[in-house]
Amino acid sequence: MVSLLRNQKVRNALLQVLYVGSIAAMVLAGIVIARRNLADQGITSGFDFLFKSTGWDVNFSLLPATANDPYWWYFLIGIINTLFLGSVGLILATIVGTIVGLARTSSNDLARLLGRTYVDIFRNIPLILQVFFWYAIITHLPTPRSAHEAWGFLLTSRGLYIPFPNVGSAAFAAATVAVIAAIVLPAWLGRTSRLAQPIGQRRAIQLAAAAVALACAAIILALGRLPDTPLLDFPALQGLNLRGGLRIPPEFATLAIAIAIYGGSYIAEIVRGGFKSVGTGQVEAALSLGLSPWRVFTLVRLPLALRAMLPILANQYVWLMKATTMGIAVGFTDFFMIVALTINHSGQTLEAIGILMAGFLAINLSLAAVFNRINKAIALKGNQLRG
Amino acid sequence: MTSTNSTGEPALRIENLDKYYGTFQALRGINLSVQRGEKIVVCGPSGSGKSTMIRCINRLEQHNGGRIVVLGTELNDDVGNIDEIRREVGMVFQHFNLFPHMTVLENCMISPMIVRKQPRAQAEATARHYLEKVRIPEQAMKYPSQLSGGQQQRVAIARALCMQPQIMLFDEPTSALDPEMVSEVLDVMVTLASEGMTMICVTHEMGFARRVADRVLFMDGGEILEEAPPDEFFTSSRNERTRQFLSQVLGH
Amino acid sequence: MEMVVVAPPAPGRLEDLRRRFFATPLQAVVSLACLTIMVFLVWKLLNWAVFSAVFTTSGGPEACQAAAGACWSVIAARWRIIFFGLYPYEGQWRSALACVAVVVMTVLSCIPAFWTGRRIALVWGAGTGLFYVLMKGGVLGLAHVGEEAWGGLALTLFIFVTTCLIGFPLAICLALLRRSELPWISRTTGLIIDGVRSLPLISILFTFAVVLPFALPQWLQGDKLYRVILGSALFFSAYQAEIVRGGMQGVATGQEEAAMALGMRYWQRISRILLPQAMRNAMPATINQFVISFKETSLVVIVGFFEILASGNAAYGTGEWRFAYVEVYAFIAFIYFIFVFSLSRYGAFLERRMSVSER
Ligand SMILES: Nc1ncnc2c1ncn2[C@@H]1O[C@H](COP(=O)(O)OP(=O)(O)OP(=O)(O)O)[C@@H](O)[C@H]1O
Ligand SMILES: [Mg+2]
Repeated sequence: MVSLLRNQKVRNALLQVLYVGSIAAMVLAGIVIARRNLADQGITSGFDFLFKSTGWDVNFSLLPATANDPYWWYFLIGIINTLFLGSVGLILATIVGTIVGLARTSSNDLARLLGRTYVDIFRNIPLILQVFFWYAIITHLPTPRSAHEAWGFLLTSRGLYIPFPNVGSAAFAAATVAVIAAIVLPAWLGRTSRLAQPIGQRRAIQLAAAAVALACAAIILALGRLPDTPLLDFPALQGLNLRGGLRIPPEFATLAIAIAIYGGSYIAEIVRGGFKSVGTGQVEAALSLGLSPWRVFTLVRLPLALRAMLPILANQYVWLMKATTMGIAVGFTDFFMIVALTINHSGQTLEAIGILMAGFLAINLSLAAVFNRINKAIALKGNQLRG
Repeated sequence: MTSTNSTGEPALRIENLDKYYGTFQALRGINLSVQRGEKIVVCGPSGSGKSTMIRCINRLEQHNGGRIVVLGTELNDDVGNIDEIRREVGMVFQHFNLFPHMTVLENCMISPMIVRKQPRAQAEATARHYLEKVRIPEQAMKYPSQLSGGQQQRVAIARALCMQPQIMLFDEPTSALDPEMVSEVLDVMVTLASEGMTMICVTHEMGFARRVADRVLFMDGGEILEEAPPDEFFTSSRNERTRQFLSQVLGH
Repeated sequence: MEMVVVAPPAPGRLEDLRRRFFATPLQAVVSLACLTIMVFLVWKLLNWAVFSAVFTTSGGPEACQAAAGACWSVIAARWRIIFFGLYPYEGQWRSALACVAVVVMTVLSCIPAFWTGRRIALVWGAGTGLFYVLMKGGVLGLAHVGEEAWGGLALTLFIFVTTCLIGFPLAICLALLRRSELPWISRTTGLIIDGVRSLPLISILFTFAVVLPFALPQWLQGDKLYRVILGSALFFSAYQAEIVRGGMQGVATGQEEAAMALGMRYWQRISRILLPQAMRNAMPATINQFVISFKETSLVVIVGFFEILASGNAAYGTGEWRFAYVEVYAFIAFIYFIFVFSLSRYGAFLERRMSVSER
């Protein structure tokens, strides 16, 4: 027996069985105990509850939602809310981060100082504190009756009101898709037809594609316009309440602002790192070819920097997506809050946690997949530039 | 262990040794017996399996077939045997592999202290003794990165000797060194050989082989193709591949 | 032809300024824009925070609310709740001393002389022990104060320190398990690490605080505080494990082989050869992880703890100070800033120093 334990192969097998076995046993025991505890409270395990109506409301949804809707519909709403908030936050954060990051790499001392101050302040304060701060600010804004107004925007404690085209929601969604196509299509064309045509022709094709997509968007908007209304619907006070325009609820605005500012400070550092990684040799070589500083930037520094920062940026975006769970701090019904509410109301604890894990795993994996593809595309370009 | 091998048992016995990396066979039926105090030099072209063979002797690589018996203890899956053999077999690597976060003295003391459980004073005395022997006692308090390559390799030899091994393995100890440092390391090895250490050296230093080797092995394609005393090996080799190899090594 | 080397005239101050900020029209515009923004912001901020601010409590909340600037009186009136939460009034010096102990411990562990496994463990063990005794009492004539009464900065620090104390060794274990040669062990560990990393921290805290009691037998449930700390430590360790593993990959394979050839056992190789080198490689990333983890400690407010953020909410949330939310958040942000900024500066310093010594 003792000599058997001294045998390396026996030992290795034993260790593996023990390790995996004890972990599996712990998980299983947890599930068994939880099922028994829940059964004591009269909750039957299983996913039947998904088809029961919830009986409670969500405060934000892009899809129609009532308290009669089943749980699965609410989970879907939660996922879409998370993705929507995440995408808005991600786009805003990227814009902020790019501006600050460029300021930090600029040759102007004042711009650099400004950028650095921004990063130092907002990176070093926890996101949740910033969320609380902005939420307090927004909920302490004046009531609709005495709202701040600027360029047709209204700032009130009930949310931000912005002018909005007077179109049906389906038409608006279609127009959004067309605008996205106007951005994505040229990039995609630039990649696939790179070898086929000379550069000038390729530019023309890209421009044409963008123009067609934008025209489509305009036509859709014009056709979908609600009859007998002005093109843009401005929010305005009517009686005690605001009518018209698009209301951005305080919760959503808070989170989008906080994520944009906090995420922006991180992305600024990534942008700076990306530009720093572009060797001075490459830039000097381009300048010595007689390229103008602007062209050096767009043709040499930007593509190389982009390639260097993309993998880190991908991680940051995944992080930002997860940061939408801060929603629960201010009562925004993101995916996680829906799960928490489900547990509260239905008691289907294990199932809800399982759905939560699966949801975030799916979000992470699909983001990673998207970025891997972009990464590959960009890496190809980088090689050409080097060659 | 020591009682069983006092008589005719050789220091090392390898029988029909096979070693695979995945599907690639790196060693094919190696047979070798080394008596106590014997010095073996192993040479052969790159990729012939020299490193693989001597790394099997102290289980840095696990063999797949055949037997290895070191100092009367069989090298098998028994963890106790592996530990015992590693304690008695010292090894010197091509790239020194000194511990960069310890001083030279600590490099030499750590193993006797934690493996042989020697008290600190004794370990330090031993370490200083062997550093003296490899002729760098004054470097004891430096860190490896502050030494030249030749000095580092001598520290590595001292470190291995501090465990007071009965067999020493050398895997191309001089091939990462600048030419002017090769001799200082070889001198230490010659001294060691003259004191009766059992040594197995993979090296292409043919001068060293002539001076100290009792036998020279030539390996190619994972096999030992030739095995002879040095004078015979260098002058009247029977094997075509050996002669070709020798002409390349000695050619310039 | 004669070569005449003319040294450029030493630029005057004005000339120097011109070159730095007004070299081209674009530069001039950027400089002016930045200058305007800066002057505007600094003036606004100073005016609000200093010139028009009220610092004394004498006028009470009403006088304060009427002022044009910041109302720092709220801090003067409510600092005790922000720092100590609901800790009993007469024992609050203990809470303060406990915070000092944690700060001293952190500073000590930034000194390279303490960077051996034993010394770091000693410093952290002693620091945490001291903190715990001071806070909890029940010995040495200190009155007993249960964890439910802990709050404010002290609770934040406690959660952070215990998270690291549990998470760090756990991270090393996970990293070692993940690089194990035994496929089932490394695969299972990889699954655990990647799984935890794909989840948001809030969901893990929530699971440990609210869901875990269902899945544990009665005798194992423990206090909610310690369950949350455990969850937070698990999250920390999943990230830290990957950092440690990165550090291990930076150690040459020859190091372990040399240790094996010298007869060292697995634990001897790991503790004497691999870990010291790996931890040194991983140092900057580790400090960065500590910084992130300190910031994330604030998330426990969501599962209902009275840490510094919640006590801040309470400081302005009740009654007469309702209007002073900006001041309270600014104050808490400032406290976080001091901790996080100094730690991250230290990390950057270390990184620079290490990259220099590598050359
Ligand atoms: N870890 C490994 N995995 C797969 N193949 C290996 C491994 N180590 C060695 N080999 C292969 O085994 C063969 C023998 O390698 P070995 O290192 O023993 O050669 P060598 O005679 O020491 O050569 P050199 O003189 O270059 O050091 C080579 O073909 C090598 O490619
Ligand atoms: Mg070799």
